[in-house]
Amino acid sequence: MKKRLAEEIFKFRHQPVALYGTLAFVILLIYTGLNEGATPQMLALGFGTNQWLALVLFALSSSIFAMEYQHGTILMLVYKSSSRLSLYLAKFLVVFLYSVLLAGVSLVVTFGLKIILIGGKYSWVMPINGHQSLLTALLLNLAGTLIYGLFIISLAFMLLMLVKLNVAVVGIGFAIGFIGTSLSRAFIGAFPQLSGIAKWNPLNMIFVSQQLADPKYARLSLLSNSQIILATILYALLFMVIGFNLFKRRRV
Amino acid sequence: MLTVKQIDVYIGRKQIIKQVSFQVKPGEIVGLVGPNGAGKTTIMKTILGLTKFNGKITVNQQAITENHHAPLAKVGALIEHPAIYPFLTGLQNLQLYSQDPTDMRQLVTLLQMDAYINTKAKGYSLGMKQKLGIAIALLNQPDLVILDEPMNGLDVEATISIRKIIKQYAERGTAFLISSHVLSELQKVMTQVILINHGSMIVNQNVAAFNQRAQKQYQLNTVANAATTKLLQAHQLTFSKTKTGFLVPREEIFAIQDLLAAQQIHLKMLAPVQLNFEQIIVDLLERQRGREHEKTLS
Repeated sequence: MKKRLAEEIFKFRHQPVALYGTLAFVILLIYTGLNEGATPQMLALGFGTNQWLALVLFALSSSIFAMEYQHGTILMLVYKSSSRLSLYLAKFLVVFLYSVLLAGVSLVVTFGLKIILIGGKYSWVMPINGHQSLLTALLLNLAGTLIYGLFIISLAFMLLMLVKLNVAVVGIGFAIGFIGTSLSRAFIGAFPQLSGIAKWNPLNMIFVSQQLADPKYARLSLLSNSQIILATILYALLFMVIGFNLFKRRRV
Repeated sequence: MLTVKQIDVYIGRKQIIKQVSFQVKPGEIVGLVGPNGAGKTTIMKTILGLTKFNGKITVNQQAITENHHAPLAKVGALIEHPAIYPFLTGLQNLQLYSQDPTDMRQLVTLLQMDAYINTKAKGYSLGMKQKLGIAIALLNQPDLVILDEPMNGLDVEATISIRKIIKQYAERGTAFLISSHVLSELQKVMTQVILINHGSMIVNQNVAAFNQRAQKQYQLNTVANAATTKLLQAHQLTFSKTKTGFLVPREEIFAIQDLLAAQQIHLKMLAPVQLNFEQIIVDLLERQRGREHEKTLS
């Protein structure tokens, strides 16, 4: 497993997709900052980190697997390893580590943009959402985004094994990123008498990236913080199990 | 070294490989020959534990299964296309699998890749990629090397160089299993030939014995070829059709002459033929098709 992970990190470091993904992420954060302004809400959300990080992760997760099939290197990977699980987990871990790196980039960009756009206005220790400092809200949002990242990576891997087409997976990812929460709200609203069950739908897990720092989102998701964290992780595990079984059965 | 014992491979419900058995000993260069779709690549993939199979495959007396690849640690392979990451340089591609930097450097020089090994592989020509794929297969002093169409895209000089390297490694004890459609090239290196068709093994012989088949054929032409066909079939004599007549085995020419004489079918030509390697393969395949056709009719 250690060797597999080292190989994956080596490949990932040299892949242009990692660099382009990071650049696109930074540009999107700056665009949001310039467009929306450095309001306390925007600062707490890291200039839309939850949304942009999810999109970058979706695109990158599916391409990191798809390229192995495209270049025929999957054959070497599988025959050189007795455990397909270690291959799958190594790729998963690399993308997750990348999401942690992007969260770090988001912190730096958010701090930098604040200084450039508004200077000393709004202190990082000022209270927001009634019960926490601006910095705590930002860190909680990033933590929620990383938990959501687990969900996104496992979903992207599973979808790629299912549809075998990178473009289709990226398309689905973008749809989830932009209209996922609206779809979830519409679904829960369509069956108000079944909201107790409907609130557990997978699209509702997207709220985990916002509600840890802002309780108003908990009223939309109808789930408590601990419920949504646990459910998101369980969904990630479920997608991992399904995705891995599809990968195991896929011919190379 | 490698033992393949009565393997069957199914893809879905279709049987792709039927009861194939063979051995590759240290230092042997075994050529896996057959038409497109015969099952050569499937056999190679099965040895590498990439497909489910019935039967037994061992490398150095250790069994290989779809989930147990440990015995493949000293097996190098190039299957279908070179497994290369285009965003890495040639050297970085090698480093991914190399356990010995000195061995890796020597291979780069041996394969004459020094000039471009530090440039990104996305700019490589087909031949350069193929050489890199072969280098990956030869890394870490393997006990067994499996090469699927290794001469693809190589120019004459590179082909000669690869042939020399294969022989050099074989002399040191490395076993090779090689498939190639360039039969003349394969003929120059292999010590054993395995002919596969429709997933079944037709021939498994050392090259010396296989080449003896070259002198075993006679070309036959009569004044009534259609009647001759019926006559040979009726007496269950071995033959294959050519454009102008038949190819018959040397040991049957007297019996054939007697039969033709009895039916008053006159000979136009009966002459020994010297078949080259490719013609022997084609002849063997045609004979097998003939037998299958007869089975279908009966």
